[in-house]
Amino acid sequence: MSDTSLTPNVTGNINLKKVKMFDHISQLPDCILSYILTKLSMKDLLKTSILSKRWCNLWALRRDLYFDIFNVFENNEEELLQKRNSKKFIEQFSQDCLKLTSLDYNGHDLANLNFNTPMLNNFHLAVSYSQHLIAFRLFATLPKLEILQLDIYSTVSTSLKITQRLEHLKQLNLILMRPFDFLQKLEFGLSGILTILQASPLLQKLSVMKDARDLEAFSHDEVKVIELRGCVGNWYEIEFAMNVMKYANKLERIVLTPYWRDDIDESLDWNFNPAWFQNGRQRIAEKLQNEEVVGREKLVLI
Amino acid sequence: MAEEVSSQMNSLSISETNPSSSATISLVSGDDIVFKVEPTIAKEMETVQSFIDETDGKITTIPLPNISSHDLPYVIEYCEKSIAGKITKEFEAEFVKKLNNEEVKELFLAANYLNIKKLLDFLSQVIADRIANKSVEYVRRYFGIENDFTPEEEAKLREELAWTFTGVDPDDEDEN
Repeated sequence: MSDTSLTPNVTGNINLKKVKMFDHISQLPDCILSYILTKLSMKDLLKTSILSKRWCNLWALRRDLYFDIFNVFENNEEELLQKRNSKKFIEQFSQDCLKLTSLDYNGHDLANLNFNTPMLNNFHLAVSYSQHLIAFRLFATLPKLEILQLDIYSTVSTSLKITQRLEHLKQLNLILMRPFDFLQKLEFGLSGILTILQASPLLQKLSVMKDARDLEAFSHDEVKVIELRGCVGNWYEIEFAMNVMKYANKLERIVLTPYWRDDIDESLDWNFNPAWFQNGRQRIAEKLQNEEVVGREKLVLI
Repeated sequence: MAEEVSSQMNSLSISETNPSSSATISLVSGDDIVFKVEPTIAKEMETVQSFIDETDGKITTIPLPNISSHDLPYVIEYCEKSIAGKITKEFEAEFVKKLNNEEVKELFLAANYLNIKKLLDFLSQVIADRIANKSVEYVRRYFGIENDFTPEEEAKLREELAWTFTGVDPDDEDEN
C-alpha cells in the first residue's frame, strides 16, 4: 500500500528510506481512490468521469453499485428514456467494473448491459419474465456469484426455464410477482424452481415467495434451507414441500408460511385479515403433520 | 487537545530508547515529536505493526516521517476508540466537526500510509459527503486534479452527463 519501507540495520538503528508522501489525494493509486468512489451517490460518482482523463473510467473501480433507474432519474424515466442520455448512461454501465462485488440493478435494457464484473458476489436484479432467460445467461458469466436476489415480474402464468448452471450460487432469494396494478390471478410453475435447484449444485439456502406446481422427481445434495412464503396450504404447495423433504438429502429445515418477509414490502399488513393467514397456516399443519410425511421433523411453520 | 499532546511529547532520542524496558511503542512524527502509545494501538496501524513484527519486537520506536504531530493525535484518538469498541455515530460526528477540509485529506493520506482500514473507510465517507453535489471544478480543486481535457472534450462529456448536473450546490469558499 505504501512505498515506504523501514529496515533496521545491524546496529539496531533505523534506516529509513524516505519516500515522498502523496501531497494530494489525486496522486493516490487507483485502489485507494476506489474507497472514496464507493461512498459517492450515483450522480456524484459519474461526475468524477469529467475530472480528468485518468478519472474518466475510474468510477468503475467502485465496489458496489445500487442502480435503480427510477431512483437515479428521480422518476423522470419516461422523459429521460426519450433522450439519448439514458442510452449513453446504460452504455456507461456496460464496461469493466473489475472491483465490483455487489450490484443492485433495477432497470431496463438488460440485453444491452455488458458487464465485465469478475468479482461480483452479490447481485440483486429485478426483471420482467420475458427477460429471465437473458438474466440467467448473464448469471452464468459471473464466476463468483454466490448470493442472488431475483425479482421476476410477470403478467402471464409461467414457469422458469433455466439451462445454464450456477456453479457457485449459495443463496437464492426468488420473488415471483405480478405487477401491482395487474389483478388477474397468476400461477408460477414449480418445475422452474426445481430447475434452479438442479442448476445450482452448491445452493445452501433457497427462499421462494409465491406459489408453485408440477413436480418431478430428482435429488439435491447441498441445499439446507428452503423457505416457501406466501404459502396457504394449496395442494401443490403441500406436494412441493413433501417432495423437497424427500429429495433434498441435506435439507435441515423447510419453512412454510403464509407471511411474506417484512423487509420486502412493508405495505403488506398481516393484520388486515389475520383469520385468512391463520387458516392458511392451519391447512398446512393439518396436511403435513397428520400424514406419514418423509422428513416431517424438518418442517417449520411460521 | 494541545495539553494532551504536550504531555505525550518527548524529545527524539532513538539511541536512548531501551526496547526491553518499556512495553509502550514510540511513534515519531515527521516533525520529530514522540508519541508513546500502547502496543494495542500500534496493532491497529498495520504499517507500524508489521514493522514491529519484522524486528521481533526489538524495536519499539517507529519513525513516521509522513505524518505530522498535528495529525497523529487524531489518528491515535480514533484507534483508541476503535479498540475500546466506542466508535459510535456520535463520536464520529464530533470527530469530523473538528476537522477542516485540509485536515480530512491529510488524515486520509495518513490512514492510507498507516494502513488503518476502519479509519480509511470512515474518512472515505467524510470525503464523499464533502464533495457531494459539488461542481466539477470544486472537486478538481479538492482532489488537486489537473484538468487535461481540451475544452471540446470536456464540453462533450458534460453534454453526455448533463443529467448529473441538476441540483449542483454553489461552490463554498474553499476552506483550509
